[in-house]
Amino acid sequence: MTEQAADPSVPRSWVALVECLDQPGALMALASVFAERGVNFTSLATGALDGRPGAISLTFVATARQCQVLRRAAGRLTVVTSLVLRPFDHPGARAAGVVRMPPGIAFRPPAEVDVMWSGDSAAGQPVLVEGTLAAVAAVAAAAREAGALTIGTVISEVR
Amino acid sequence: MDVAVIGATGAVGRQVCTQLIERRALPTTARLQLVGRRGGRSEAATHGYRADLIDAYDEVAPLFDVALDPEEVVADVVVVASGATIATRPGESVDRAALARTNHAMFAAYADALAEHGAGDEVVIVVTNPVELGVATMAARLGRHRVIGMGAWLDTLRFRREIAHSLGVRRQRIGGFVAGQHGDDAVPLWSSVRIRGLVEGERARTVGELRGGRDLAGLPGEIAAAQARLLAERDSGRAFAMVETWPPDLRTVTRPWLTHQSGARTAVGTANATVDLISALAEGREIVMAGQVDLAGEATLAGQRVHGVLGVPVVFGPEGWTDVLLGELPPDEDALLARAARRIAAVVEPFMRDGGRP
Repeated sequence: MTEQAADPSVPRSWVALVECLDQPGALMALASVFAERGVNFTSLATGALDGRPGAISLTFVATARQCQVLRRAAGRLTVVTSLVLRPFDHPGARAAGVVRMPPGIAFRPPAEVDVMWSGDSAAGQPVLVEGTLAAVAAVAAAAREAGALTIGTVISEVR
Repeated sequence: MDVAVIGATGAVGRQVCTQLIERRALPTTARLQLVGRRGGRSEAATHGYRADLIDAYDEVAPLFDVALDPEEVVADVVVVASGATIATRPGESVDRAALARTNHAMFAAYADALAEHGAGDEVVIVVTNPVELGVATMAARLGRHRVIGMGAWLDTLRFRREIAHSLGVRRQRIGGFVAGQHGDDAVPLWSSVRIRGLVEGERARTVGELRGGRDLAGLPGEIAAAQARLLAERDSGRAFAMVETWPPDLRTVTRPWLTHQSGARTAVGTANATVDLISALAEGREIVMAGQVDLAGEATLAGQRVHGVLGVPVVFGPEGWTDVLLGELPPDEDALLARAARRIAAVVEPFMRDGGRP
């Protein structure tokens, strides 16, 4: 679903990959843009690109108009060197995840979710998944439903 | 709350930025956008001004941002302080038509950019003259309630100060508003004057003394005569002393006119009034103020609903202006304000015939 096709008054999920100057206060400046406008992060990670300092991945919920406002305001910060912002289910947003199940519990990603995965959870192995952010999030939700002990996801790319 | 000052390196723009910082109106996490014009003299100066502000205020300053094109303006509050200004050399005639043409193009450019790229809820404060034309042009594209001209608020503060000065008190003890045009067609609303510490009968007596038995019907002629006398006075000290002898309503219009003629300009007072409004927005307050707004029948003068830009008392808050607070006026105020509305319309309407496009 493109930004333009979405009902502009309905909040939806978004993902952004922001590259900032590697200096104190950069994250705070970025966070202030969101806080001032009443938008919370649903996830935020620094060192998001190969552990590169200054790279921040984040997800949030907002209307398309709010998203545009946030994009323009964040883009004006001198500490922001680049910003890519996409709908949460955009094919250019990719993630990886690791699921650890209770001993002996088998888990596999739902068949309808298109991810690459490996690991035999019943044998005590972690289940590793990779795919679009939306697909990995769907796997994480299914794992949570199935009683996963730990679930970790990382946004690997937003383009 | 982020603020953009269009024309940040101009006399008023610089004062607005400085006072915003000095008065701590913006937190250090807010962004103050300095807007210049690419290809103009302000392009380099805007970058330089940013450096100077950081140098002076690094401990308390907001984040700074430089924009040089209209489509780069990104803010919650946009102050329009750019464009040509009225001549400041004594005796120099003012080509108001040329001023309007020049600044209308600037108003339209920024209004178009905000309409296309903006958030849809920016509050726009017009400082540049003719402020009524600026309000009309921007309101046509952005919506009436988001746009306000601060000229009437500045005139109001001046009126209150002149009354306070005549009474030997400070301005904060005086209430009241100036409506109409920001300029010679300003209408001091004597009926709105309040003086802290005086009850109704005492106030009526005091106001009567301040007015000296005059009513507003004669004010336009008094203003014209006063300006002619001031122009004829070569000594600026004597000119300012002459102003001191006049009644408060006449001083409200002539003192700033003389200040502008002197070459000193009125940047500090203008910025103070503008920052007042920005501070209210930053603090989420609704205030009662006077401002130039684009009316669609919210006020009635001379028995007719007013459509078009006019300075009136309004409620002003984070989403712009809402209610007009103009009750039934005494006949002299009603007549002069209706006259001001007609004279404003005569200036503004030719520019709005093509949807306000230059």
